[in-house]
Amino acid sequence: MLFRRPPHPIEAEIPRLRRFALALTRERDAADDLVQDCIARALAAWATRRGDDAALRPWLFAILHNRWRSRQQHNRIRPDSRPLEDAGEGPSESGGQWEKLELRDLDAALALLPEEQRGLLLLVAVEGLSYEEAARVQAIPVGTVMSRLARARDRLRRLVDGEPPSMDEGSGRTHLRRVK
Amino acid sequence: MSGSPATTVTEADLVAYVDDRLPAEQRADVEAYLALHPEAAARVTAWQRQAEDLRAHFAPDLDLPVPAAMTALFAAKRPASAWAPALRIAALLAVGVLGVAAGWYGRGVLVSAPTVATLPQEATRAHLVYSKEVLHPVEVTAKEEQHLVTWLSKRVGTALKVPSLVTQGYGLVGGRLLPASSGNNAAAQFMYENRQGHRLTLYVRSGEGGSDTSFRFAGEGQAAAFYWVDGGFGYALTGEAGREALLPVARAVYEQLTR
Repeated sequence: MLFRRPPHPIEAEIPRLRRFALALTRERDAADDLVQDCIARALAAWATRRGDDAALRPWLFAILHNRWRSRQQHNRIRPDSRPLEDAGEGPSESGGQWEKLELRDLDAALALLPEEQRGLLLLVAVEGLSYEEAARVQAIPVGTVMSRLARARDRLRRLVDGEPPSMDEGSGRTHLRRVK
Repeated sequence: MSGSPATTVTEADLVAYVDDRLPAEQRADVEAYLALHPEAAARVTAWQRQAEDLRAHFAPDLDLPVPAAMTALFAAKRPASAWAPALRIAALLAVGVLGVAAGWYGRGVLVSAPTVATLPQEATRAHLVYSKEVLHPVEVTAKEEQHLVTWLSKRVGTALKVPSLVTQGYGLVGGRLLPASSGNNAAAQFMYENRQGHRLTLYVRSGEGGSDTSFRFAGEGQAAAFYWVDGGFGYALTGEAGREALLPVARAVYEQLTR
């Protein structure tokens, strides 16, 4: 070709979109599927997009998060399985199998976090999004971002330190009991 | 929440402190608070270390090779940047300039191309392909001669006449449409056959730019052709025969067509 097609601005964001999708789904295929969906929708909405280049990444993250949420709702089998982490923490359940959990590995600890908390940690602590941007991505108030972050950090800390997660937190999917 | 009595420092402040989103003044307030509250200080330290661990943990994910299926999503889209259309216009203009230049310097070639020399070549090539064909020597047989003539006349762009070669011992088999390098790129081929199964073809194409020519002969290899140009159309009678055998048939064709 005489001239190479200049890369689309979205293309440069693909690695970050995949990382975010991977943080939410923790499955490579599901993550890539989500990213494909996100890109297709972003391209379709590209002509009508408002905002400068700085807002591109949060805009894309929001599309991806939105796609993920709608898939979640579609795939949910249990009716009462919405994440409850914002409802506050009750007393930790101790005893039984939870005492056998030894989670010194950060990845294993992250796997036990509710997806929304895991996603938010990535957005703020790793991607460096502002609280307002993260709030728009997750479609929640800024105040909820702050409390969700505090809860995510406390919980992750306990998980890494080997404490069992409390039963009142998170979606059912993250309550993977280790059976020995 | 652990140990935050009646102070102005909230949990949200601790979060923002860890994420380094506080103005300097508020930062100082939080640090003063943490100095007095070891439990909160331990919490903040753990959060800070955790944030570093998270950044290290997620960093390798950015280096995953991008699947082709994802980049393919962009291939179908027009370039997004503002100057890309300008580039494409520039490319078109460059091609245009090249085209004009080629047209100017190459005008001598272009005007006379395709030369009449390609007429016997194309006719002979077509003859060698289809005269050997047993099952499908023609697309439309002589049984539908009227349809054949109407169809090929329309495609070639002139009212074709199919000369009769009965006197020479040849009957019409039929005809077909062929690609051509001149005119509207369509040529007609009519096929004749005698009782011995020997076949001749008459090839007609449009777009002969030069003036009318007289009879010419071209013979190489297996087949030979008599060809001529008349009124912008090129004609060639081709057969696997020598000049002497072919000449009377070609003359008959010529006379019928130019009459």
